[in-house]
Amino acid sequence: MAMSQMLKGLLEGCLLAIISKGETYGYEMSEKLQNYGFTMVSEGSIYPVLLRMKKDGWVETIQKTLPSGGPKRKYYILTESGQQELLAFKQRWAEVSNGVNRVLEEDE
Amino acid sequence: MELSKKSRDFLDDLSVYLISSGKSETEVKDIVFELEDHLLEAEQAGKDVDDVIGQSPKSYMQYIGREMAFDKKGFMKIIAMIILNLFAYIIIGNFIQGEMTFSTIQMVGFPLVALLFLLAASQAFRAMSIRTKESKFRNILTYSLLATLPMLSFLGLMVLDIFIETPTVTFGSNGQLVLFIVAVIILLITSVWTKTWINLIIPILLYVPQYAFSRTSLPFEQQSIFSMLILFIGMAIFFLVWAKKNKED
Repeated sequence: MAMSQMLKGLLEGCLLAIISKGETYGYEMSEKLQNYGFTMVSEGSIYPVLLRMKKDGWVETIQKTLPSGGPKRKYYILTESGQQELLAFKQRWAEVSNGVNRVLEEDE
Repeated sequence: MELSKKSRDFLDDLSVYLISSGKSETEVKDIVFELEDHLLEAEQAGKDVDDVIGQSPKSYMQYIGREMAFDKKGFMKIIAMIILNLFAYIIIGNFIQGEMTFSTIQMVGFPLVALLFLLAASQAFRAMSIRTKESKFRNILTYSLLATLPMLSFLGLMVLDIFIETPTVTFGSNGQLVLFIVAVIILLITSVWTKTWINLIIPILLYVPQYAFSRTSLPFEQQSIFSMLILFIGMAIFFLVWAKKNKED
């Protein structure tokens, strides 16, 4: 099933927010999303979104050796333009959710 | 912890799909490596690859593919390498026979055939990587069609060459020697570039026996048969050793 554009946008914003709290890697991000209740998308769907975010220059990646000395792992960090995008997303979301909430409240 | 076979297969298919879609090899390795890391952790938590991707492997692969750019530079490099190698093989073969004449049809046709084959091969591998595992028969059919394509096109070129006369270029013994050295250098560069021995072993198995037998007084048919035998046995030994080494790694 294809993810709707809206859901993709929301996922993007949530990933920006999670990465802004400190460097993190794919599995950890998907766990956090699940814990927050963002269960509408599969774990794997974060990767195409992360690819896009990297292409747009919002995130950077670094390879780090695991503390256990095993193979390397890819970590994500937010760039300057990623920070700005996060702010813009927060603003957009506030407007949208405000508007939607008011419409729904009127219904009741 | 080892990755399950199902996840391993998925990652292999994904990498074939992305490479044959013309994505950069480094980027493909990068995303496959990242998903492998994810799947390892997910499997330890009792989830499997279907849970992780949450859709059919086909649509997930396409979804990833859409976010990756087509690697034009890498694509051109591969095409150049294939065409140069094709000419290297032809030149070495002609050098041993001591005759080197190329018609215009051949000089234009060989690169075209190589290009056609590369495009067909990438399309075929792309199609097979997103097929379900039940399509065995269709896969065998695809492989067979793919294998006959270059044979048919070379045959077509030969026929064209006989019926249509085009200007030819003939190289004397000095020119032949220069081209021969260039051809060997091309093979060496490709071997270093691809980090495999195969592009040196095949020409050696193909041409050294041919050359050695051509110096004997054996009839031509026997020369061909013995050369072919050495080629096939040599290839079999090479793949056995290679498969064993891969298993150990």
